[in-house]
Amino acid sequence: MDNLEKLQDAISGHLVEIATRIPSVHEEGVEEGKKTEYDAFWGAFQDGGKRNKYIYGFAGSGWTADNFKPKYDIILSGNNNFAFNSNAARIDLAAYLESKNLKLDTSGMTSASEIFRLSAFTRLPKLDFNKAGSMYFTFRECSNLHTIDEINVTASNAYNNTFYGCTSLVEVRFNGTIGNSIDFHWSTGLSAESYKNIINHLDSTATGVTLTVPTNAPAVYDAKYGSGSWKRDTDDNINIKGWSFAYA
Amino acid sequence: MHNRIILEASEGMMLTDGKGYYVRVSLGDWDSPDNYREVPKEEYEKMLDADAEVDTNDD
Repeated sequence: MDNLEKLQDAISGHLVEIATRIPSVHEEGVEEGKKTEYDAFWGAFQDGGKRNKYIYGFAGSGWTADNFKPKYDIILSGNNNFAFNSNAARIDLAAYLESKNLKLDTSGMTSASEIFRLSAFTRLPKLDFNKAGSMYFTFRECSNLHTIDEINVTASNAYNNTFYGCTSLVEVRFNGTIGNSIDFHWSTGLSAESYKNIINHLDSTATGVTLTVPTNAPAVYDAKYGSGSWKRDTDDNINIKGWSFAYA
Repeated sequence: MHNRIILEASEGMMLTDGKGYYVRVSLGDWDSPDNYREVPKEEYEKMLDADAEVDTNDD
């Protein structure tokens, strides 16, 4: 080793000693290291933000509130079944994304089957399922899920057990048209505002379809909007006479 | 006002159309009482237990 290399090693050693002995310098170094690792991991995992297929991508209980911290927009295009299956990050995903100025882009999805199955999220951001078609078990057993900010749908979306086991769901808002049978009976805490939104988005041209709700839905609705309002807005609503209303 | 037919399950029973189980159904203009039959609540509860078992095994 020549003298220059020896000098460099000695200086590096002193710098490390200085960094270790001065807490603020040490902490900055540690934080910088963490950021470097974070950038490297998420840059690779999300392909610098270009990744748009996450089939099982965020699945598994290994994902937690401590490590589920995407750096880039989460873009889901085409089929992304089970993308968040059993994801254990019990977080408000909408709030996280907002805080990082990121978005969850589902507008290119051609199926929304089981993407959030058994995930632990408490709140989901706007979900564009206009092209998704099938919403087979989309939110299956999302037992911590309290709020879905918005679900964009067309009359073509099909809801086979979409909200199966969503026992904590209180707030859900649709945008677009609900054109096929849909079942919320697992969500016994659904708010009156949610019911009003659902009713207001039922396809008035649909027939052969059923809206299923918990048995307490009329009481919840009437408590908010006045006695008889549920009957007025469902059974007596000529605009949705093609809908059966089932209570389970 | 649209006069609907309302079906109510008897005590200890559920209504089913083969797709789901209900305690009450308000029929749309396309629907008919013939589409529903009553089944004992036990049948519904057995179906729930069977579902739960599938969930346990399924992952």
